Amino acid sequence: MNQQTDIRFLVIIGIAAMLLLFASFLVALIISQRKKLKYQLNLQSLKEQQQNQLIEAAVRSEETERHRIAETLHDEVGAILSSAKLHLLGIKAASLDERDQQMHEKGRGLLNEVIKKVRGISHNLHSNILKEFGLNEAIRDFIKKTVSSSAIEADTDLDEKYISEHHEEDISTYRMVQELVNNILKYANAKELKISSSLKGSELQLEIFHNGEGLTQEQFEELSFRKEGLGLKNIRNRIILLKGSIRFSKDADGYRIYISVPVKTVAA
Amino acid sequence: MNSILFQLNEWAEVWSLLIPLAILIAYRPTHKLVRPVRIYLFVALFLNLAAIVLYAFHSYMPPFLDNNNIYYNLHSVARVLFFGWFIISIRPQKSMTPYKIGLVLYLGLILLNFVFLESPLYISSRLHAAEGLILIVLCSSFFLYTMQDESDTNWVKHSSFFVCVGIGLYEVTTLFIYLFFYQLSSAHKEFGEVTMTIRKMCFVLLCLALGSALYQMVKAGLAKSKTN
Repeated sequence: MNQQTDIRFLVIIGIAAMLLLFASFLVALIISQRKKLKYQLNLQSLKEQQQNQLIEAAVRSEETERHRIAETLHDEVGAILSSAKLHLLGIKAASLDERDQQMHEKGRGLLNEVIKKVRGISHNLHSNILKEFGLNEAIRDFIKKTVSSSAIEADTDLDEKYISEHHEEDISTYRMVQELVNNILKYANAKELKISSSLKGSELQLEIFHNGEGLTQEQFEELSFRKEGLGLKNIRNRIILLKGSIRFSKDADGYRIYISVPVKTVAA
Repeated sequence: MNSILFQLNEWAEVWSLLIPLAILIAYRPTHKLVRPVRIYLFVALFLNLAAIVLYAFHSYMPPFLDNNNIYYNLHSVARVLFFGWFIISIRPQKSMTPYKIGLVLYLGLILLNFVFLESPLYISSRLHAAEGLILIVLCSSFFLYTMQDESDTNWVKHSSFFVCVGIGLYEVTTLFIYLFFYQLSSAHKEFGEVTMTIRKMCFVLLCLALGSALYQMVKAGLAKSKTN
């Protein structure tokens, strides 16, 4: 082997060794980055899981509290009010003078109104109708009771194909509809309200339309992160819990709220 | 066909620079790391264009313009300075002081070398070997840093990774070529020419890596503006 060949050999070996070293560095870097990314993904998924568990616990405790208040109102306050009504009816109105008769009549009317209101609140807080007759019937019943006392024209067009046995998920959807409709009645000054739903595959799509002053998506995002925006925060939490989505939009006719939630249906 | 390939090979160090320059001009990335790359690309284009034009038309040139080696030497210094600046800019500045001192020392030693030991009119093996060693050390330190880094940054998709891969690949390949440059060119010309073609191919890869890095900077800028 002469000197010329030695130099060429040295150059080739040198380049090959350096390239090998460089390639090993790169492989080690790529492997370490992949491990890091995998670890970070796991960490993120754990965080999301934890957040979902916290939301679920908050929603469950809220629901339990609603039930407790509803039962107390119905069984205790309702019973006392009914008893008071019985006692009031026991008074012989004919023996009273005209002024007392008027007072008796007024008291009876007010008591009837309180009993009706307490029953309404108790029913709203409780989800008995939902459990017994399903989401569609619960929404119809809620709209009928809520809207009857206001000047708004309300209508429902719900997909009858949707029958579910998973009441926990339906309760969350129902509560969102309740919160949104209450907000519309309180703030939107709407004349028309329509709730429609359609089942598309394994997704229930709800649309709430009204012709008042509504929210845009940006306003919803902003308000739901405010400290005081408890109702919208609850809606956001329930959407996260259900792994669904909510979208606010505005067109020439009015405002529309689209809720989409994945559902497990029962064969009808 | 052979003539086209020959011309492509001859002008490789000029046309390859147009790839990252086109991305630079078309997308105008505003990333904080873009500055050293941008200046390097324009300096490199000027030096390489001058070197190739002098080589291609040397028969028409006056005698004092017959030598283009000085441009290759200057390009070597430019590579160290601009890529050194780039790699130093990536990491927290406190830990980079030794590297900054190293670059200043390099400049001083190069100056002394050309004043007392070598003429800048000849390709300097020492200069190119020093370039290779400095940039390989800098790239290795960057790779080690990314391996130890626990932040959210995905370094494999980061613009600096593309630059360091490109420059690292170029330097590890050319280190031994320049180390034995004169022995190869005098004792075995044919093999020497092959090594020069390899060097040019590595330079093309470096330019492609720079192009990818600039594109990553554009994407990073877009992502940042979206989140804002």
